[in-house]
Amino acid sequence: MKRLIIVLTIVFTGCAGRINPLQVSGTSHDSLALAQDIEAQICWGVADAYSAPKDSKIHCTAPLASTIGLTDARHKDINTKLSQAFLLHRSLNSLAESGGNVDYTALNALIQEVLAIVAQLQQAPQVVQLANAVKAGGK
Amino acid sequence: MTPQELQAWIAIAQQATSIGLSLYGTVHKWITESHPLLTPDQQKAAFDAIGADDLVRANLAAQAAGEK
Repeated sequence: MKRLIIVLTIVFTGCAGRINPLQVSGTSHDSLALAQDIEAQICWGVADAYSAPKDSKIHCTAPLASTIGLTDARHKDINTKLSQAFLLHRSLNSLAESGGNVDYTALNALIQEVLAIVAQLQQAPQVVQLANAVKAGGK
Repeated sequence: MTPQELQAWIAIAQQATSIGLSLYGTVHKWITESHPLLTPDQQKAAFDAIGADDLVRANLAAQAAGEK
């Protein structure tokens, strides 16, 4: 029994140190993508960021946006940070693919900046979902 | 070793085997879920798909921010 516990401890410890880089990158990407889609839903009332209006993307038109205080200025700030986050994530993803040591510090810092903007919005279920998705984008 | 002692050892061994099998099942499930068995080509395709969508979404966000 003692041996079994020792073997299982070694297995657990060994596996804990080998978290799948693809899984980490995929989870982080999906969370950021979900955050972007929720922001698009709040701002324009569309299904996702791909369905953004063709013109005047810089203005939020959905009634919910004004209700919760998603002004055009906050919409711009959030999307500026999200754009930087996706570009940074792309670099980290390439690094992970090549087997390099991936440092998520800069991405986590960007995510904190997005969260600070989201914290200025009025409380609503969609805002909570947005905050949770943004948080999950970090590591 | 008396027959009673032998019986007791068999019972302990059976219990240990049962616990071991149960733990093995849990560990195996965890490893399988954490480390999907993708071929190198499938892994590369998955990484490439993530990177491609990162770029598209970065552009969408930049447009929403009025940068493009």
